[in-house]
Amino acid sequence: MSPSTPASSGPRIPFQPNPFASAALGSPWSEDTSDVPAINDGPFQSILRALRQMQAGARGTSIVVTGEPGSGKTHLLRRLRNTLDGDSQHPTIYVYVRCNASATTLWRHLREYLASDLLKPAASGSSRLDFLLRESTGKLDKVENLGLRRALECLRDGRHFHIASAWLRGESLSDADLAALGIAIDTEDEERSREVEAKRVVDALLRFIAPIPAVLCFDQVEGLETYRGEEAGFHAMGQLISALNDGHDNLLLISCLVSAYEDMFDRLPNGADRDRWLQNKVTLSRIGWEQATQLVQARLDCAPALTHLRRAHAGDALWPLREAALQPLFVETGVCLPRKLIQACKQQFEELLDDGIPRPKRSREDFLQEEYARNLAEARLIVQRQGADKTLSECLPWLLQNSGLKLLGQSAERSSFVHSAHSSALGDTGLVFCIRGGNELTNKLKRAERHWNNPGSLRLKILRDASVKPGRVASDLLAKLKERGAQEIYALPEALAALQAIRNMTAAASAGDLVQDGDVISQEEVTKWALANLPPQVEKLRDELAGKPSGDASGDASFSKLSALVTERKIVEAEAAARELSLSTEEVSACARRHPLEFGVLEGPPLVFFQAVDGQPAAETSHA
Amino acid sequence: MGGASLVLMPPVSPVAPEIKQTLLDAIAAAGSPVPVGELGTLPSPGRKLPKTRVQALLKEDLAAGRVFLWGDSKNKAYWHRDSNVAARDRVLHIAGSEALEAKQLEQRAAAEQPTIALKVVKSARAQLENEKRLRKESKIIVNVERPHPFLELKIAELLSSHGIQRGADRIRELLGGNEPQPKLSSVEEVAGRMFAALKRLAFAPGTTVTFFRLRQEPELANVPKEVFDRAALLLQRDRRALLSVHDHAAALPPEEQQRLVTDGLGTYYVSIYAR
Repeated sequence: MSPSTPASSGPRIPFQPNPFASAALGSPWSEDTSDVPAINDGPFQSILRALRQMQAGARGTSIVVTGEPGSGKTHLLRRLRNTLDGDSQHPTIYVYVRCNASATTLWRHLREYLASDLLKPAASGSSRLDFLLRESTGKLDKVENLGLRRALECLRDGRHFHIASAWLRGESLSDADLAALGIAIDTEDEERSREVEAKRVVDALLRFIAPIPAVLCFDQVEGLETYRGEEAGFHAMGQLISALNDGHDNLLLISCLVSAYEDMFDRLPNGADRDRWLQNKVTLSRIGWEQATQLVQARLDCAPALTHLRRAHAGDALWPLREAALQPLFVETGVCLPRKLIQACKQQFEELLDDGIPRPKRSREDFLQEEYARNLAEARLIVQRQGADKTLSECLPWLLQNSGLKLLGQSAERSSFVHSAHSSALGDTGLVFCIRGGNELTNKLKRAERHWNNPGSLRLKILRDASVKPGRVASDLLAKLKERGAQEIYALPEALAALQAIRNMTAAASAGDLVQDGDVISQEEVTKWALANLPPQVEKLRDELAGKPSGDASGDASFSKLSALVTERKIVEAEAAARELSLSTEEVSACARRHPLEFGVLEGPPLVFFQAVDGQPAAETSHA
Repeated sequence: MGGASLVLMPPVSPVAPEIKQTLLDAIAAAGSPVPVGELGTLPSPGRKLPKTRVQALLKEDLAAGRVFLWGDSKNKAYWHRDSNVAARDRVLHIAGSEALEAKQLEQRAAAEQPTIALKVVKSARAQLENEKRLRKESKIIVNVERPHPFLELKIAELLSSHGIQRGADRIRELLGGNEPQPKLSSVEEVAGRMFAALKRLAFAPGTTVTFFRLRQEPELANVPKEVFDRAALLLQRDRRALLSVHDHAAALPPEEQQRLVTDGLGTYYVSIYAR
């Protein structure tokens, strides 16, 4: 029988990658799927019109793109990117920002994406920033932000490429790296000032780009909701769009939002921000049968293993799929969401590959576990790159809200020294994020020491990185604050990575992009699953934040020292550790065993400690 | 391979884009299908358009499902309602009001004004049976959601077999058939107002307007929620508009759910846009 002979359950096709495997486009930078220009052409032409206007000298504008999950918002942004890439007559800078940030980190988030996209190599091999630096040599001297000027000079001259790129993205650099770039060391370096600094860098970078038009695409704006019902992120986004719109003439701002969040605009308290944000609006519609056929055909045409066989069935545009199996999707309203159609095709295609034998369905639990594992690997890198402070600002509200704690807004009194505050049955608590060391740690502790006047009405918790050893002044301040009742909590790197992974999953779920076999998984479901499967490091953090008794690491003097050493070396012999820390081997060994979430222990001889990075207590896994 | 061939297209007289809009507006405002001939003689174009030109102008909107073809091949007409949808409504309505056999039911539905081709009605009935919204019982076509006429008939037969005679009113009372039903006309009227407000408020044709925003319009502010919701769903069913699903409405507090439109079966909608 030839491979194309119809079997009882349908035509037989050779085993191959499923052309319908990806139903949700992760990023407009991906190159893997086809495009049908007729789909959502109206909204796309509206965007192009606004862009052409700007290229002809008109002021930029803001366009809001709404649509149901799976209607093709990210796809539309990719089409725009491809169009801009192919237009050598009108160079335009394209920036894609996925909005899984928060109200207090939005400018830093934009800085990171703006810099990353400018540094991305184009088809020619050189980056968009290379092009700008080549085209605008004289403009570099006019860049007012000195830090930005130094970083751009380094990039132009090919010096310190990696650290200059990292500075541009807003990553934290050591004093030595800053000195190499010729950038002053900020002694203040406070969270709020970093947000202000990010805004200054973004403004200066956009002025450097001008008059070349730039398109800033903000995707998954609903991701700004750090926990269900939070609106601060949307308000901050309104302010950001307003500031960009007022401050720059050459920007086309595109914000993509799923329909379920559309009424956020009705609730924006500042009418001026709303008017600047919602200057234009386009809606992505579901597709009719004709466009559906084109979409399916385009995907099938991308499958090389089918080319020959499809030629033999030229009269049947959808071969090897059955039209009758897809038509029911269109019965009720005559239209269907593109993603729903692709999911149906995916399933049909898989059945053909499997000769009609149904595959065992993955359980929801397994699917979420796999998604989490994938996100966790990525999250570890994100936390490392963006810094723990940003992760805490974006991810901690979810944990606090879902631990039965009520988040409090900022007040004039608290905002001078705490980053976040919440109330519980035990009273109000303020959190100070002291993850970094050096001047920043000292300044934050000084501020807390100066302004925390009423321990009776506000308890204070200081979140620290156990591996960061405080200096003499900071140690004294910490001791004073603890004497007054402040509690020191260690946020473990693995806890931060886990929170970041959960945040990425909930943001994807809000956007309707977390899909298992055609089933859209809701944010509630992800939250429920995550809460039931919290890694022990996050559970520990949650318990300490909620004031539940747990193994208190802060009282353990050797813990901080051993943590710093193991973080630096990753793996160290017990005897060597004891020698370096001026402790006995028994002391360091007992300390490591008391903190299985932080230290892995390989039984000897020789006894060895290593940094725990897994979700389970490392001492247990080492015995396995 | 041969050289490129030149295909001569028939000359097309230039028509201002506003003429097409005039045609679409006339179709949207019409209470019944508008014959092609009538569309060609609307006063606003200022000149008569040949039927073929009218058809060419509306071809794209017909393919996109914004207007629908009525009548037969000799007497074509256009309307904003889909005849397939109208046929489904009629068949359901008649089956829920009278106990009729298939042939009688189809003929009645096809003959109502504006008339619908019998084959369209037959296909609508078959589809509704497939969807289990209609069922054939002792040759009678029963509306599953409103089986009252069939039950009235059967109860009367049962009582009669035991020598008991009861009036139709008493049997209907027993079935709860006298309970007040929301008037279809009022839902349709609200749908008309809603559609007009939607077109007025939308940034551009085809962009969404939230139900929260629509509710603030004076002509819709006092409409009871149930009627408002049914009107929105009617616009979708008639293929004049589409509703955007709110995918996590179940997690919202009740006061926020009240801002949305619901079909009563667990689906909530946040906004609406014209097709």
